[in-house]
Amino acid sequence: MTAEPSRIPATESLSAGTLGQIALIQSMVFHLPDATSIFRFVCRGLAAVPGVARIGYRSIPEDTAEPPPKDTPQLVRHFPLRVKEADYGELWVAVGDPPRFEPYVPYLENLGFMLAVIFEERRQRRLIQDHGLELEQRVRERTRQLEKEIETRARAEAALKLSEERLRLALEATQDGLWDWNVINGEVYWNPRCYTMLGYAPDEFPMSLDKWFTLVHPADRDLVWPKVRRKLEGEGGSFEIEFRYATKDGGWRWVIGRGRPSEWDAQGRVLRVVGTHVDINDRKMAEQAIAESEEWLRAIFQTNPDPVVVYDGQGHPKYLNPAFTRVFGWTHDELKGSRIPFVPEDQVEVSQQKIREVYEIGGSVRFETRRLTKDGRVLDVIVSAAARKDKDGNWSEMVVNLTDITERKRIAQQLQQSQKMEAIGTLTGGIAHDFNNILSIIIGNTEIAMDDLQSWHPVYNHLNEIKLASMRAKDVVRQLLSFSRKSEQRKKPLHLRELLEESLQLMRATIPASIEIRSSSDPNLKSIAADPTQIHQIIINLCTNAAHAMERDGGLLDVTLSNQKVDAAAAAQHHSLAPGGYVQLRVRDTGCGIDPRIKDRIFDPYFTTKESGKGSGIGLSVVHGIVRDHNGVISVDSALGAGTTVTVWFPAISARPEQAPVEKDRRIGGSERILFVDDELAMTAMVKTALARLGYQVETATDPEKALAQLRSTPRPIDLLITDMTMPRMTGAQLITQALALHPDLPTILCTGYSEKINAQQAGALGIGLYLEKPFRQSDLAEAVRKVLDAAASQGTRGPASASPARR
Amino acid sequence: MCQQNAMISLGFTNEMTPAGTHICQIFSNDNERSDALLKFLVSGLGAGERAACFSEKIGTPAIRGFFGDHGLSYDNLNRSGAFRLSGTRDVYFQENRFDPDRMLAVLTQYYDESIAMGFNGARVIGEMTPEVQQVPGGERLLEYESRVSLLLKTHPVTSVCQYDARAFDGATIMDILKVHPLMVVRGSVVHNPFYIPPEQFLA
Repeated sequence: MTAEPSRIPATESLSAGTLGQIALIQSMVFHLPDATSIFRFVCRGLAAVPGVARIGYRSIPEDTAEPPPKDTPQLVRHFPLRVKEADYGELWVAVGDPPRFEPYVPYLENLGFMLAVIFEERRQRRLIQDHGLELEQRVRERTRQLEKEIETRARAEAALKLSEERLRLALEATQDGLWDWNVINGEVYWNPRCYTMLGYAPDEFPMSLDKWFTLVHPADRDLVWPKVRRKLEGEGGSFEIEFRYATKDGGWRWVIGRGRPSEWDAQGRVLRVVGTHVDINDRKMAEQAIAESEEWLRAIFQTNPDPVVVYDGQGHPKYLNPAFTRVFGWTHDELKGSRIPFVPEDQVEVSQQKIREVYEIGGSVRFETRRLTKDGRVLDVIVSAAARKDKDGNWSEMVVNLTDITERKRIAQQLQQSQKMEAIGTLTGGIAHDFNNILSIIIGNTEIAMDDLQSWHPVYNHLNEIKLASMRAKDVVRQLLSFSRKSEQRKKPLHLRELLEESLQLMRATIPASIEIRSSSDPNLKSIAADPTQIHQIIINLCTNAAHAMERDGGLLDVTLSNQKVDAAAAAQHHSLAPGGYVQLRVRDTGCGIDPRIKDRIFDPYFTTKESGKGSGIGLSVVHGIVRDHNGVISVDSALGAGTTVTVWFPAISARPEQAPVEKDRRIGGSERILFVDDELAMTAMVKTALARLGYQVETATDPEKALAQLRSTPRPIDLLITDMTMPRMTGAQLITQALALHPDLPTILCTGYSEKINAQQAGALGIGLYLEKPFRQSDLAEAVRKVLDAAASQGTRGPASASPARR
Repeated sequence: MCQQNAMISLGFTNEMTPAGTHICQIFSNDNERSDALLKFLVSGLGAGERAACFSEKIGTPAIRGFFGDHGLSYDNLNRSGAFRLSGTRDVYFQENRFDPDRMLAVLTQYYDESIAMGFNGARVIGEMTPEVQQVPGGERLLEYESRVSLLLKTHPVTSVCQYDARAFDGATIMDILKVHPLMVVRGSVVHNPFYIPPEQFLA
């Protein structure tokens, strides 16, 4: 304030309206937004205060002012706007009428103060607001920073968590153990997997370097520790060692220990090493198994009795085992880089086809074929082949096993031949009985008929043809039985030379003149044990076959007999022969030869290449059977157009042949009473007629039980019982046994067409007087009857005859 | 001011005020503005008066909501002509100029229509914008306000003039006070000590 108090006149009274205005100003200034507006509002309002000439202001903070004129004559009163230290300027009033104005000075002072308070309050509020804003700004800024830090930290934590999780998952997935070694204090941390890998519970024992040493396999310690030590000494990098740890169950387990130094001190010394354990036990075991397997395979390859070849991709032999060289003759060096020349021309196609199958179908093939040896022999082999692919899936190798089945196949063929003949023999034996019965009836009746005719009678010759044909039929049956060993053999020491001569003499009458017959025999030819009839059959059959082979163009039939010594080496060549002395019969012709395709079948029964009527097809089968029965061996060598040579070996014996008995051929009759029993009515009729014509009293029966009843009915009904062997309900042997029980001295004859149930020897043991084979001629029957009856008469009894009937 | 005018409620104060009063409200925040405006309208409409609002600062949704809160249908009131909301510019600055005579005619017509329509009275609340200081005729604002006081003696439209202290200079505010007989101070209607009667002001 600049007014001098002395200039202030006496005051006047206050106006209520003016005071109301001042009060309203005070109330209203709150609404105004800034100091200038307030000052202008106040100044405009105070202008109405009595005594005021002019009014203005000076605003400090806003630096605005309406200053008083410098040369104003009026008293200028200043109303500062101050509160404490704060100065907000002032209001100034140029007082035109001081006495009127003066009463309002305190109110204006108060207004100034109030305005200062308002400004201060606003300043404080602004400060607070500014401070608040700044604080808020700082808070927001800090919040953003914190949020950013939190976010960064969260990301880092998440990344760390993820990383740790990945590490954990990776370790779990790989089942690897984790270890951490403090080099300074020797402490070692093993994670649980390190323990469980070896069968221990996690943390079953505190781990340390010393403990670690005890767990490492003694044989591996010298391998492991130097590698680790080198790393400690500053070699740098990581290490990887395969070694074994002791497991809880007392075993050992292979692991890969990997590790690397992870901390160093200032001098570069390693403070810490970390690493992993990877369980490789299964892999190691597999490797060992593979190594052992390879060793085994190598041993099997080397010791395999079968030849084995491993081919490379070009079909060249990569490996050969010793058996290959032994069987085929080639060494690996001889075949290196080339194909093995052991596929016969006729086997190339099939072999190539099979090899293609291996590549196309995969797996393996097995087929039978032939292969050549280095020295040109042909071997039957079974080829087993399998191919192997390389890692790219291309066929790289083929392993071929060749099993030599040459010998096995030959034996199998022989066995098969024997089995076939056995089957045929069984069949033959079954029908021989019926055949002989029929032939007996035919032959017997034919002879009876011929007896009734003069030899000049036209029918006589026809009947004679019937008889001859029947006798040939009898021989056929005998051949059949011989071949199948169903006929009773009568082996005895025999000189083949005489038999050969007899046979060839017979053959000459039937062999065409275009065929020259030659024969030769070792003068010191040894004997053999043989049935002369059967040997005769062999010679006749072989010579007949040879003659048939030369029938069209003629040729040479060369038959030789010689002694042969078969040693072990020769026996090995001919596998059916045992070492020893043999008499060899060789029949050679210069005929058409045997087709190789049928060579294996020539011994089959009923197999023939001859046209109908030329042969039964059982000739060679019979020969084969007879030779076998005589412990001999037969072989055939033949080539188409180059003739055939059949060679038969008979074991030689030292015994000399017996002198041949003189045959009797006369029919002697009698008057004795004879009972003939046979279930064939035709047979009983024929025999009754034949014996009756010889003077005998003949009774017949077709039922053995009725015949037995007849024998029971009278104390001495008959002088001779002749019975067939094979009958229904009771065999002839049973009938004779029961008849002898009734009449022990009753002479008996047992006839049989063929029976496996009894032979001559067994018949004698049963007390049977004589064993007579069907078919028989009347003379055979007459002689047998007479022989048995005469024997009984000479002994004073009717006991059995002591000898078999003579055979014609 | 007419002694025989009925006492009415302004809505934003407890005092009863004679109808046809010319009141000035100086405010410095939006809540003061809307609070006085809405209460003034609702109290008048509730008393059967016709009401109008000239403002750029309040919209239909606020008024509709406030009316609804007090049981009044904005749409019904609008349709019946009981209420009218218009922008300050549309009313005061037609043809981009301020014409006090036209405005006084509007007020006159408004009151006459209201009475003719049977309303108990009429009231208007309008917020003058600072734009008035730039438009032609704007310099006649105080004249207009003073003439309104004269008009209301014959056409007692209760009128509240709102001025935003943040938008007008302090001196202008003081000048405006001088032409309003009553004013609202801190929620109360008081006689304005700065008021200059129109006869004096216009002389």
